[in-house]
Amino acid sequence: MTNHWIDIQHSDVILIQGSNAAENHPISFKWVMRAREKGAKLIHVDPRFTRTSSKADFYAPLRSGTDIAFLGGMIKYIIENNKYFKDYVVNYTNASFLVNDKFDFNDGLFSGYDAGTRKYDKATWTIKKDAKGIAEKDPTLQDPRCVFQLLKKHYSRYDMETVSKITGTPVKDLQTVYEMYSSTGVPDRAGTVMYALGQTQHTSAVQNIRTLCMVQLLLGNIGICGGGVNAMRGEPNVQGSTDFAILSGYLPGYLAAPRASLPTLDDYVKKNTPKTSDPRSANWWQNYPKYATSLLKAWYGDNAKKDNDFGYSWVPKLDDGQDANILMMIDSMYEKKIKGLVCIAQNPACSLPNSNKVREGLSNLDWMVHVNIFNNETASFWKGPGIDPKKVKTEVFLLPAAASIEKQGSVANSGRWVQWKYEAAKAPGDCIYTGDIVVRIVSKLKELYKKDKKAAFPDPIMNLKWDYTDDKGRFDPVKVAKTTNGYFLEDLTIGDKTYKKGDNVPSFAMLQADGRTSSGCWISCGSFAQDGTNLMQRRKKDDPTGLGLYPQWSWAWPVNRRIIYNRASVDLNGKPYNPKRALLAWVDGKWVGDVPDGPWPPMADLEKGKYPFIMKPDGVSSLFGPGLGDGPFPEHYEPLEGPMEKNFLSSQLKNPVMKIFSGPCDKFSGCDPKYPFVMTTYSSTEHWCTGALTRWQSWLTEAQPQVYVEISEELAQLRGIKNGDKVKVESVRGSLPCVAMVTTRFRPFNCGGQTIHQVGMTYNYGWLFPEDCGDSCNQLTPTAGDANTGTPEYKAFMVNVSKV
Amino acid sequence: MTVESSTEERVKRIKKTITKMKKETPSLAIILKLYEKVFAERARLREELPLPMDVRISSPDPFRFSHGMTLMNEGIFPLSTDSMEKVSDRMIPVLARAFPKIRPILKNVKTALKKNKPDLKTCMENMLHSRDEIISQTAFHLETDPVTLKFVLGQLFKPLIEKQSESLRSVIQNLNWEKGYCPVCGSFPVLSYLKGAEGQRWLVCGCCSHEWRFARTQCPFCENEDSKKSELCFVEDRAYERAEMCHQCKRYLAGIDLRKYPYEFIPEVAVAGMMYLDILVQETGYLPMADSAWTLVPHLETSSKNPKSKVLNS
Amino acid sequence: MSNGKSILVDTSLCTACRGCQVACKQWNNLPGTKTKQVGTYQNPQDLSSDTWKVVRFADGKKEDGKPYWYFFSEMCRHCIMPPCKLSIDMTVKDAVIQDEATGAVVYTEKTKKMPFKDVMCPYSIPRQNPKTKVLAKCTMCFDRIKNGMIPACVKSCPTSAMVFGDRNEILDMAKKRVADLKKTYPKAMAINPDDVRVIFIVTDDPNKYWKFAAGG
Repeated sequence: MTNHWIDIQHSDVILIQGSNAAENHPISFKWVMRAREKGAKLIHVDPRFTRTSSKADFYAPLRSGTDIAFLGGMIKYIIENNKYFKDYVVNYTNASFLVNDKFDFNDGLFSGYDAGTRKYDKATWTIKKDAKGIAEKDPTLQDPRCVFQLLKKHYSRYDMETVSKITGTPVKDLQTVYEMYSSTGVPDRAGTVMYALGQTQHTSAVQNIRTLCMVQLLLGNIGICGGGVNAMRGEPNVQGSTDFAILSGYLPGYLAAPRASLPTLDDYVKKNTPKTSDPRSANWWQNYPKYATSLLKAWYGDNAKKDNDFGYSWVPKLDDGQDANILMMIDSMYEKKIKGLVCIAQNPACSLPNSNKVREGLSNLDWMVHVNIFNNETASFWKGPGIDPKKVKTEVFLLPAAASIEKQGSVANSGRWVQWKYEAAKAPGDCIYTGDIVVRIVSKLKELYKKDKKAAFPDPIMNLKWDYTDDKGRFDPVKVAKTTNGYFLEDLTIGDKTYKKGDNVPSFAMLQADGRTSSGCWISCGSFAQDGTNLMQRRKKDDPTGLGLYPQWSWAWPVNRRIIYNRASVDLNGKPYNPKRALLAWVDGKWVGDVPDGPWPPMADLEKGKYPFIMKPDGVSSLFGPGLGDGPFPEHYEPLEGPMEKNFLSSQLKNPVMKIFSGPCDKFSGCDPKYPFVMTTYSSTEHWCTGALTRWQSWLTEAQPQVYVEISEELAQLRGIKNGDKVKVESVRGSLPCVAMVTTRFRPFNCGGQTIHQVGMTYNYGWLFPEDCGDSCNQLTPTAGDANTGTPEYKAFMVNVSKV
Repeated sequence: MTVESSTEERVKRIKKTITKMKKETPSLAIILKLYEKVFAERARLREELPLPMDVRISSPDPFRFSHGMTLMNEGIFPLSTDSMEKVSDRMIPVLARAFPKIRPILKNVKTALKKNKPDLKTCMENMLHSRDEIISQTAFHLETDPVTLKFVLGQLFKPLIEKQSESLRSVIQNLNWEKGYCPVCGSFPVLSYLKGAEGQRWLVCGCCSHEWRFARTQCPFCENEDSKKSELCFVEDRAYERAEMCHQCKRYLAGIDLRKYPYEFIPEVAVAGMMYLDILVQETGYLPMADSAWTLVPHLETSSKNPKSKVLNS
Repeated sequence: MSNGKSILVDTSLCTACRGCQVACKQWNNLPGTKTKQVGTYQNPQDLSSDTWKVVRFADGKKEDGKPYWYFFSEMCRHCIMPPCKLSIDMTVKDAVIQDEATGAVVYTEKTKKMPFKDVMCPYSIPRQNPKTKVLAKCTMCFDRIKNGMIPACVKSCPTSAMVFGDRNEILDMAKKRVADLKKTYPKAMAINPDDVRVIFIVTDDPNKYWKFAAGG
């Protein structure tokens, strides 16, 4: 989230698209309903009518996988009806920047596409720079090569009739949503976007979210109170795990994973440190080298020295061009390239797409260590349906872990608040902290490497700083958290302040690139005060702005800033656009309110003022975003498996750069009459993810006992199905018996005269327990991932439903 | 004939009021004398200028307008260059006479206007949007500093902007406006006045001189409504002239109570006549609400004979 | 004199998360019963001696053809003049207690002597334990209230759809909420506020929520 949960109450219009917040983030609705009580309007855009829709002022249906078309139409509407917030767009986005003359877009493809490699050469996706290297601009937004005009041109094709043919949303509904939401493009109204996996689980996931961002930027809704682009993260510390690099392309703090072609630290930081020639751009990532060195110092301690590149060579490298996301990992298991797996707190045999392939992949392993609080379908895959235990060679170790509430430590919520929690109960029996398991394994590894003089490449293990235990040899979460925050490793004077060796670094602004500081995750730097006070433990309810920022409750990254890019909430002179919800104001030569995005004065100060989007090299937000692999402007493509024979916007049917798997298990159906219905999968309130934790809870299985498929009355009639009937749902990859739920909440779409039926299932079940609950719907889902992140496309694929 | 006579009538009234002020407050005499001719010429121009031809007279979206989108924001107030030449021909000599110090800059400005390089129209537009980069660049070209350039351009083009604003008055007269900045050009006011038996509060735009009604007790700058955070500052024997100070945003606005005002009310003259208060309040660290281009104080050498002031809770 | 306690259930704020349904079972030590998916989100299908609070789900089509989905967090209304107590009193003395401080209507073990078919309740709330024959229903968590806590269901509600408090305050709150809601939903109403302690607010015809929502 750019903002935070409590802030939702300040919105005037709330757009929930790609989320069923009421069901999957119930607490968010505390704030949504509070906003509504103050007069806010709630819009829900979703393929199905959910508990969220039931509370909305306006619900608009949309066919799964067509969000970019829907939102592209909104961009067109905003621009052509002058609903955008011009001051914001001109000053705080790259709308006025002039684009390379060779950049082009033609019939679904941007310039530079290579059909052979399915990749773009992005050489033409650039901004024109003047002799000083500063972006050329036209603040009147009239130049035909400025971003704004190119944007206008790009989305001019997304007229409501065409959008409606794609999304199946009636034109009248499109009009209503566009009108309601674009009413926030004024100084004193705020619109917020709440999204979740409904946006991310698509082959165009990142572009979906970019489109939402662009809508928000045009309306001046980012960086303001009651606005933002708000990703709602899951209960099990999803925010924390991404902050700490659970994704394969990252190191902690969103640093890039090193690549094989970057053999030295210098190569690595040069490649990843963005540059700017514009003196008014803070370009915060220029500090990249400080964060990289401090991370290495945290990992390797005294063993990391300047003359050994701070141990950079010990960090594993990805091959060039290698994508190591989870779909690739499973594919490698399936191909017998991966021999062993440590699987902690996950249930991939149910949660990953094409689970029959996953289960087969697991049986190709030599060994699997599984750490969990309950047995699940992954730990027991070898005795699952259709698998003969005698034929599985994989040796499985199931290690009992303590549950989240049985552990002390930090949890980051979606609003980036990192809160310290305590053990609510002792873990039962032999269950221990996962941290303890890791500590014991690594200590043993060190011991084994020490004994074996012939062990290959011992450096990464032997040089690891490993002092995370208390005096009884147990895992100590406070020590880990402090290392994460970072230490001064020598006495250091910065400005007029002196810090002692061993002090905690109180802000990442003080981290150094020369090895004199450590920090295991630079964005966490500041979670401890210099004297070692744990700021994540704070529970003071002071609210000086009256906006519910609660700056002394826990601690938020970065540097306790509660709303990021908050300097975009003020005009060039530092005056809040909306004084009634003044997040920040420049008063008496200083910022008052939230922690500002940097100390610099407002932009009207030509010498010291800086642009507000400090994480972007140009200092402004990107309506034109060349960073992604599939285009600087989001473009609608159909899902990998879709019901349409053509794309009404171009002759490019699918995302041209997404990875397509081609193993024997990876079958895909096009417009196949055998699989005529669009399926989307989701979770329910009552179960958590695959149900691995909740299916053991009798009050929850009582409320949602068995796997079901939700279908419309029209489809039920077509297939002769009655409510509660047993049915079979099939895709080209698998088939699953379940119960039919016939409901008015699903309705067929009219897509350009074609009737398209959409159905839906939850992925909350697995064969292990309870016995009659059914199995995972991921037996049906395709191994297909987003072109940029590889997030699987769970939300849109093709199935058949028939009565059994 | 009638136009001319009414214009001259107005010029006369300006002179009369200034003369009266000078007599009663000799410390302001120098400043008032400087501005007298400027105001007079501006008044003449305002009458003489034709309505701009290239301004799009269209109504704003009432919803967006009521939520703070100005005509400037909506592109309904682009700067017209129809009469730029006439305005500069007439204003430059007057300004040169009034402010000898800025003569070199005025000369450069004149040349720039002739050559259309640097583009002073764009510069002026940027000024209206508070985008200062181009102003700095232009100031560099014209061998001056941005603050002075803004003052010069502001004084020079004010008649043009006022005329244009006037032509748009009809499109918003029936629309609701509750903001402290100008509904036409988005600038902050230079003056607040109370009128009528009930003391309705009106604000005068520093840039285009548009006037609009505003909440009596609210700060136009930060919308603070807490009376504990605002104060009136005035000189004992001139209580009808006061600075409305806001402690929340540390800004002030010159204000007069017309019910007790002894002079004829001519907004620009009234503002000039209160400069002693500007000096007083600015010394306490408070800033005027309007952009420096529209405030007169920082650009003038003034004597600092401070009359005794008194600060009262409003 | 105190007017006892009341609970407001504003269905316009309810997202049917069923936290209340589970919290009720947790506090009252009631088991999860074996259920099946029969084509609805609602489960269990009805109240029972093991289920004193159940969120009822009702979906259908509005006049404009768009779907609706109404949620009704069913529980005992704790009537001011409870017909169940009146009917049981006629057969078994002191089997039903009406707590003085709160007004909660609470069944005792003695209810097992009461023929179930003769128990009167317009909202169809009481259920009989098939083994012990004891009658069972919500107690308003009067044991929690006596210990300074609010009812478990109210405590669990994330959206404040349920509010517990002094009856007079709750009645005022209900009046205000209905007046507010009427601006958006002309049919908004509080159900029998003068007769019951658990006051439901609905935004449409109560029968669309549940056939006994407003009493049968």
